[in-house]
Amino acid sequence: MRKYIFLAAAVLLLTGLWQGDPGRVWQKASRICLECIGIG
Amino acid sequence: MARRRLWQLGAAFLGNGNLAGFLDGRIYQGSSKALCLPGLNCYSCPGALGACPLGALQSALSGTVLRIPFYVLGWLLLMGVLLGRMICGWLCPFGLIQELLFRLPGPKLRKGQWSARLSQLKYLWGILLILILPLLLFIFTGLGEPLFCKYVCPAGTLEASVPLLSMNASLAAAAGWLTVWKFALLGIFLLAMVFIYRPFCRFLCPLGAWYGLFNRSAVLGITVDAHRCTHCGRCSQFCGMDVKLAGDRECISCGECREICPVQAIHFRQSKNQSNQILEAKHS
Repeated sequence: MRKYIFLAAAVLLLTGLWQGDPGRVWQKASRICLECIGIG
Repeated sequence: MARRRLWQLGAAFLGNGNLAGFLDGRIYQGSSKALCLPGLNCYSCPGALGACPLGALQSALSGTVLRIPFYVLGWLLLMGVLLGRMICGWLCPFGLIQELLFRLPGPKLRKGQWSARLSQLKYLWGILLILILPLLLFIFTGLGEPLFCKYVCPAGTLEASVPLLSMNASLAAAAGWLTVWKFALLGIFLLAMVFIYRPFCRFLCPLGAWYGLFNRSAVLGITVDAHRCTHCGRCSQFCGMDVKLAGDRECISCGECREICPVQAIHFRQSKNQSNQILEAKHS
C-alpha cells in the first residue's frame, strides 16, 4: 500500500513540476494576500 | 527540555527564520517560498520562509482560473505517507503554540464524548471549506475563494495579520469587518487553548484531518504491537487527543503514552526492533 502512495505522490509532484506549479505557489506566497489572512 | 519540544521549536524557527520581516512588516520573497512546509504555517507570516500547504492548495482552487494543484497534492501525499500526523505533534508551529498556551494555569476541560464527536467535524469542515464550497462558488460565480484561510484560519490571523497590522500602517487602513471577525475568532481560539488541549488541531484543522488518514501507513509514527496490546485503554485515557488507541487517526505521535503502557506495546515505528530487544532482554 505504502509504495503505491509513494508512487502516486511522485507522479503528482513530477506533473506539478512539469506544469510549473512551484512558480505559482511562489507567486502567491511571496505577496501579502490580504484576503487570505482576513484583512478587509 | 523534551526532545519533541526541541523539534517543535526548531521547526518553528526554521520555517519562520526571516526575523527582519517582523521588524519591517514585510514578507519574505525568496525562492524558498516555492516550497511547501509540512505543517500549518501561514505564508503571509513575515517570518515564513516557505508556503503553507493548505494555503497553497486553496489558492489553486480560488480565483478565476481553476487548475488541479498537482504539486501541492503530491506534497501532501508525500508528507502524509512519510510522517502522517507526526507533523502535528513534532513540526507544526501552530501545534506548538496550542501546547504552550495549554500549559498556562487554569481549569482544564477533560475530553469525553463531546470532544470525540467534535473531533470528527474537522473532516466535514475540510471537505466543505477547502473543496466543495470553493468549487461551487467557482461554478456559480466564476470566482473561487480561499474560504478556510479567509474566514476561519486562526493561524493566519496570529502569524500574519497580527504582526503585519501592527507593523504596516497601510495594511492597517485596509482592516474592516472581516478583520474584526477573524480577530474575534482568534480570541476565542486563544482562550480555548488555555482550557482545552489543542482545540484547533482536534476539532478544526483540515491539514491534521488529512495527515491522520495516513497514520496507519506512514513510514514514521506511533504504532501498537497487536500481539502485546491488552486493550486496557490506558493510552486513550492518558492522551490529550481524542484517540481510541495509540496510533489511530487522532494520534499526533507525540509518544508520551509509551511510558504508561503496562506491556510496552506502543513504540515508534523506526524503533520497533530496539523495543523488541529491550522487552526480550527483560524477559530473559
